Amino acid sequence: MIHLLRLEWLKIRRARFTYVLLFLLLLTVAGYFFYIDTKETKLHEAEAYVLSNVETSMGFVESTTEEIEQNGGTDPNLEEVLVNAERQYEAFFLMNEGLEKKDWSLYWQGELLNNSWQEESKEEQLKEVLKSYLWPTPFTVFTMMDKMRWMEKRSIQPIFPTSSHTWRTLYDEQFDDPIAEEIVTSSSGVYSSSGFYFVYHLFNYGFGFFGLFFVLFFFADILTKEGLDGNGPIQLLRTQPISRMKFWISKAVASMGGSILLIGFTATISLVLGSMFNRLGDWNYPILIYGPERTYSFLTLTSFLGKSLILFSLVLALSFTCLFLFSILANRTLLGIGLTVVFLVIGQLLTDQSMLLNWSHWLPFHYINVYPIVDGTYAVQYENENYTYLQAILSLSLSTGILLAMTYLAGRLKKGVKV
Amino acid sequence: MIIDVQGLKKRYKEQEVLKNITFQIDEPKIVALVGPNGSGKTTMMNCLMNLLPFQEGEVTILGKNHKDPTLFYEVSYLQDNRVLYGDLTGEDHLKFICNVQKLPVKKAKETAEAIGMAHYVKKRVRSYSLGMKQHLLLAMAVLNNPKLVLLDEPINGLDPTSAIHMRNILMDLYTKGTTVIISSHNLDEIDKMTNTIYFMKDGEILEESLADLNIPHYSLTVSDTAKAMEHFTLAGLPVGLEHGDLTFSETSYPLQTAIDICNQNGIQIHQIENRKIGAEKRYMELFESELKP
Repeated sequence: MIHLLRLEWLKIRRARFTYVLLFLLLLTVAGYFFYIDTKETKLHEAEAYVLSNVETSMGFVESTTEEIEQNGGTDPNLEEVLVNAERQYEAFFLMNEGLEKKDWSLYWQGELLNNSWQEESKEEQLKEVLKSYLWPTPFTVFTMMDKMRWMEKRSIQPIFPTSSHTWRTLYDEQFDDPIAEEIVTSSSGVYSSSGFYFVYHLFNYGFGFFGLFFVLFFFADILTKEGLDGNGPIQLLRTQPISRMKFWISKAVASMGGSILLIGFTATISLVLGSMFNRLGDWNYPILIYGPERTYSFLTLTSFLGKSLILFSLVLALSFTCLFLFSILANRTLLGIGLTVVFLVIGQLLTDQSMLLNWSHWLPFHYINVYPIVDGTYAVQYENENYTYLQAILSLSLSTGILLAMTYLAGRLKKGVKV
Repeated sequence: MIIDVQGLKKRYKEQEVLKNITFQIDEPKIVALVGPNGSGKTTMMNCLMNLLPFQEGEVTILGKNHKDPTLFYEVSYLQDNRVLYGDLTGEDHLKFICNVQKLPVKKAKETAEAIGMAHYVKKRVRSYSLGMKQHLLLAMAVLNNPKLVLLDEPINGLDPTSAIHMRNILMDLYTKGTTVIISSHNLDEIDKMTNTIYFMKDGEILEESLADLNIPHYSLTVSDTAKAMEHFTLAGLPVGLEHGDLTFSETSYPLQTAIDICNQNGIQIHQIENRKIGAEKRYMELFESELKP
């Protein structure tokens, strides 16, 4: 088996195609990294923002105190304004201290204090209206506050900006203020070129069609080079003391192992770029996971990536099986790739039509874009709680098994071919 | 028994491409498969090597069922050069075979040198000429010192130097006790190296011709045929008569003996003709109808 794997590795290493694709990958990752880097709010910008707020809020506290003294301290509204102003001042003061000392727990304490009024008011709103679609929904406020608590507890460096206007969830469907809508829309896509966060952001595309097609192109030619039906090198392997089972297992291991290595390589490059030009970032940054009935939880960024990788591996297994089947049927690698891509794209396009079917969650095409499955947004968007992570694993595994059986049969039934 | 094929039949849908092939090889020899395109040579080799399934018959190689993958520790099959990986080097191919065959890797280098491909073995196969590819295939086939080698048209398209080199390597294998089964359209080369020829047509073995195809058969035109016959008989030398000429085979006695008998008895030799049959002549006889325009 090890010899066959070594052969597959040699085929990859010796092919010029490999280096061209790796170069393109590096170029894309680096280009995207520097694009993200230019969009990121830098630390000094955050410091300036907080400092100006410290000064503004301090001024507001002073002017309100003066006003209360001038009125003889009899206006209860002004007293309330002062309480709020003092709280805001205290919050920005803490945030400023946190920034100066690089004490991120302190920073988050300030941010939590600054937004605590929202939580209180939403608690009230929640008592009156069970579900709201107006930004910020109670769901949005509670998840934001819990996310801040998570960051505070673990002393995680923020990705700026951190104000409440940078946080929206799937349930925020309407805005009562167009200005607020504009601000939230533009600032809720928070970017960071720090290593771990960039990996997370990059694989939002990587663990989907874009990454899938790239991996297919990367390995397809090498893995089907033997010419499953022709007089290609498959005949050489068949005239060696190698069992067919070992041959197929080595193909599966090489394609899956190679894909994981390629993903690992991309992640490493991203981490290196992040570390060199920004910082490594926090591995335990919280990722919001939507649950049924407006429940939620958080996963560490690395756990989220791990779960995504497992699911994407199953998507890859399904795609490679498709590729093997189509390359047997079509006799040509390129045609096999084309048919695989068409099959997956059409399958994905037809998923919308299949939504009404009560067994649609068994169709594997729903799960090609991995992130929305892992974080639960797909189930929320389509209001179908069957689209779970576990269901995705089952559906993809089952489909791959069926396709494997079809591939075996296709090889057997085809004239003169022994697979 | 090196190879035992009994009643091998292969069909593609309704078309029977191998019709009840039966033959045995029980001692090391060089066997040629000769026949026009589509006669079933490659199909038969592929069936023997379990690359193609067949409907009827039994194939036993070196005492094992032909489906036994361990057979390939002792048997090699050299197919056309499409089996090579263009991006890999010759050395990569040889080392891979060494690893799979559980041979020491140094054998790759030794074999490359023995075959005469040491100076290009580290280059990518994509850059090889046809002859270089054929030599690589041969090197891969002989790495494991096989007891049986099957070669599908290894000489076709080779320049004379490469062809001679290839022939010498095969002859060397044979002298070391390896049985070689070769399919080729190069009848001249076949004449020079084979012991047995299987003439094939339409999926059948028409004829198994032994090496005497290559043994010279002489025809002597002499001044007095009756007198010559008498002296040859007196000397105990078997001789035939065809169209007034004396005929004999070199397996009986050398040409010089016949010349001496004639000279000693005052018989003039007008013409000596070598009537060696040869693969080409026999091929022309067997496939006469196909040669007509």
